[in-house]
Amino acid sequence: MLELPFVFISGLLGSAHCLGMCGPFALAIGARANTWQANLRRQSCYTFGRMFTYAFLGACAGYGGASMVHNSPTWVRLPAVLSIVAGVFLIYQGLTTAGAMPRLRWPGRKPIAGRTGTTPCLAAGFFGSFLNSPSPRGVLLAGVLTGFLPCGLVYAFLTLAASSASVFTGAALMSVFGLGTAPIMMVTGLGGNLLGLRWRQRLLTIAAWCVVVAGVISIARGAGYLSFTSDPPAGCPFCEQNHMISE
Amino acid sequence: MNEHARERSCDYCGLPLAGGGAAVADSRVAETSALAAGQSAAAEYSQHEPEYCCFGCRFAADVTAEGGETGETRWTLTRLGIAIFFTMNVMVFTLALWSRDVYADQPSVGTATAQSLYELLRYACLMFATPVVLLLGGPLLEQAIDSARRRELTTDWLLAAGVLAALLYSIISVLSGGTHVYFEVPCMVLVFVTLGRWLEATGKLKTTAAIRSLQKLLPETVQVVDETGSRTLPLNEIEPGEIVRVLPGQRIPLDGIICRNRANIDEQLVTGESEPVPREVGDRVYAGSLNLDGDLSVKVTEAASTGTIQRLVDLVVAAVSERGREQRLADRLTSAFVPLVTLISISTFAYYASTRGFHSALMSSLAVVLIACPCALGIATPMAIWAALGTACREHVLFRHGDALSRLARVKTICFDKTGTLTRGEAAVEALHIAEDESRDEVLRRACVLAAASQHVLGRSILRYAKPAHTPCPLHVEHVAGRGVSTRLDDTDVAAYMGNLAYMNQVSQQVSPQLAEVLADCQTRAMSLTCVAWEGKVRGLFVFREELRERAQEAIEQLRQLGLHVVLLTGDHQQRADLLAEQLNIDVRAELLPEDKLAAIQSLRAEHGEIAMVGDGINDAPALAAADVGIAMGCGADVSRDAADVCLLGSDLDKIPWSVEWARGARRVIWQNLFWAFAYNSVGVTLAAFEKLNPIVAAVAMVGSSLFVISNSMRLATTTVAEPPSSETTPTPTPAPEVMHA
Repeated sequence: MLELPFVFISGLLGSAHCLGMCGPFALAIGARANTWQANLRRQSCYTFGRMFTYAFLGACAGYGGASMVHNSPTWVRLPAVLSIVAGVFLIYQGLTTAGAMPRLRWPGRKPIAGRTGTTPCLAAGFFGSFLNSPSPRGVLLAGVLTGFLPCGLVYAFLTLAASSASVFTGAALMSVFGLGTAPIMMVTGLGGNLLGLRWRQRLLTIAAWCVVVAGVISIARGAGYLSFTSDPPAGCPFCEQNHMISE
Repeated sequence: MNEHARERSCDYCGLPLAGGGAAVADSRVAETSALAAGQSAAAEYSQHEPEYCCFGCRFAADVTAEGGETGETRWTLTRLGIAIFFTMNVMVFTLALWSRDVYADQPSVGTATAQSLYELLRYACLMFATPVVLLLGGPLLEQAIDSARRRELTTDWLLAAGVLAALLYSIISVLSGGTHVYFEVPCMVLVFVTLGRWLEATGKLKTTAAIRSLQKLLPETVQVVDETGSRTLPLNEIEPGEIVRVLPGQRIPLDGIICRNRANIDEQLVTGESEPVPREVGDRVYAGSLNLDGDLSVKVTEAASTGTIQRLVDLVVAAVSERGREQRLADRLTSAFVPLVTLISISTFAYYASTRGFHSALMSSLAVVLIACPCALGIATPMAIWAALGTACREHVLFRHGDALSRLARVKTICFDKTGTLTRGEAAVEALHIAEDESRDEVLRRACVLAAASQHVLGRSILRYAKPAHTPCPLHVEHVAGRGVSTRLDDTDVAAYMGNLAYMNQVSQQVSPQLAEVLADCQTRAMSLTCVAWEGKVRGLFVFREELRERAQEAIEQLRQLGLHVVLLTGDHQQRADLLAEQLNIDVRAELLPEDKLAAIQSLRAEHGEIAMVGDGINDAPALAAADVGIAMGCGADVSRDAADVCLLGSDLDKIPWSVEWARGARRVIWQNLFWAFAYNSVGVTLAAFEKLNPIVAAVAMVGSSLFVISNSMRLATTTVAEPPSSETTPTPTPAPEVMHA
């Protein structure tokens, strides 16, 4: 398992990137706690919820990869291709975060003439009610829902999970990623800004390049498999050593 | 309250209930207006059993009803959250189970450990799936029972039956060691159906937010003053005749007449005019206007339930309840759709049960029901119309019904009345020419009486010019439409006449040579004038100066860019009309009497297609009614005054191109929604009936489809209002050119 440590570190450092979007949630969750112990409990519940969703998504991606491999036996090098795609995705994510690349913009729908202001968000009420919930159950659910928020980094790692073509490896990979994001999110939720702005910016840049490195490794691995001439190893859910990953 | 508002409506979102046939209107429900129920906590209006248009609304109503309580707060929503959590578990276990099929050729699959692991996974699925059904099955079943009680055919029954069957089958399969388990199906279906419908309900509520926000502007309690002192009472309990105190900075809570003090009042909410107006004792004030600087006592003239704001709201509610063209189409589709889906689903089940066994039969028929859930079709039109009308209302444009929206979108030609519409209604008197042997005072005295008798805008200008000490009270008034007015000072006096030259000729009043000179001069300059005459002679000649409204040119230009053919219809002289038309670069038909305007509209319609007519709604009411869309300007507080299809509260010409664009946008959204909902349903049902659709995919697709319709409609429901570029606050770079005419 070459990647798992890397996934962890990518998650760990990449979570500096998460702070932009998910940091406020962690802070909101901390806001309801009176003591730091209570806060820690809430943050743990929240983080667990998030990891749970990542694992769930990882399992889905893994299954998706597996069935693609299974259903297109002619296209034997699918995991390798997926791996390369994931790598490109990761590199793109890393580079945009590091500011080395302009962000792609989704072509927006043409607004209706005469319309002003913003469209109200439908999901906000649903999500918000859990964020402010006093019970750990609510916080856990907030974490579960946070995991579904659109996030380029998550998608990049999900592609990686899909390339593992295994439900279990996929879930494990995403859990490790989630674990990696835990420390900074928890620290943020607990103590607010331990690091100054300049340090956070530096960390962000380091994290971004770390994601790029993960992408490069992923591509290299995919490329290696593409040139691999023998039968490609099909992932097996119960063999701890997955041919493809442990090379 | 308006009859239309009494149609049955959902107690959560306020939209009319499906199949809203007035025939079955339930008297208990008729008691509350849709919005009143939507706005307040259900408790206040709970004299009837709440009815909901869908199970999402029932669910959402449960959530909001619990909102204020502590302890078990938000249990309903938490229930959905927990169900999602459990469902995710079930999904992961199921994926693990499925991967056995994927790797069926691997040797490790057959081992005893693997076998017992799979057995374990099946039990885990059972354990996690049961709570999901317990948590979310309830509301669905309740809604199914409710609709059965209302004798409405819905697909909720089929859905509930399918979910239960799938669950029971899987449980039996686990316990008896059968082959197929599909716990993920009931779980995912329930989660997605609930989530989708909850989003739908929230969306519906949001679309009605614009109009409800009007009501929220009024204070909930009012300070009532009587001989015993002052006390604070709820707004709804105030009766006409009571006196309420309104402090500076407060909104005037009820319509009334000022009986103490004076103040500058911001009436923008009601009239659309942003400039504050001074009001003093005896002046009318409207609910919702803002008292800027005076400690006022106001004698209430209308209870809250019949006041200005409520009338505005009622109007929009009535507009929404009216089932327009698109809505009737959707209704027809839906009413044919539900039985059809039931039939397809049952026959799918029967066919596959006899050929492929229970598993295939259940899955396909469930997929049919899910994909065909007519939610998207049902909300496609009303949501868009609600949103569009609500937002338009906040932009000070009132559509009287949804059809007005779609008709305005189709309009090819737009006709304008001139006086009071394209031009400021209030022309200023530029000069008063007196016949050589007449005293100026005498002319003014009679002119004031005649002007007071006249409804014409020029009459008001004469009054402003003459500044009489008191407003005269004319007797024996006789109006001649499009020409003038005659009256007497008192019973002994001779008849006096005021009007245009044609009128003077009609009543045989002669113009003296000296005045005839002035007259000829004015006519060459295309200025408007009014004659005052008695005893066979024209004694005085008022010459007016009239100005184009600010931004008239921009508004016309915008309309032209929208591809509309702009025509000026006026009763005025050809020369004056030509001058104006040339300046605005539009077509003109002048010297039209009211009945000629009707004929002009009919001929224009035959020539160019559907017509909108813009007028001030007073003297051109027949033309407004004859056009496909009548647009009345400056309706102000008196929105129910006239029969125009669209009322602009203010006199801002910019609102006309805005309305056209808005109507076109709304129509586009409605057709997109209808097309999408129908196409998606038709394709989906076909796929599902041929066993090509997994129920889970169908459930996800259903949510996706509803979300598309909702978010598409929500583009019409914006939460912020743009300040209209008002003539007072936004100085136009080029001052509107002055035009002389009437």
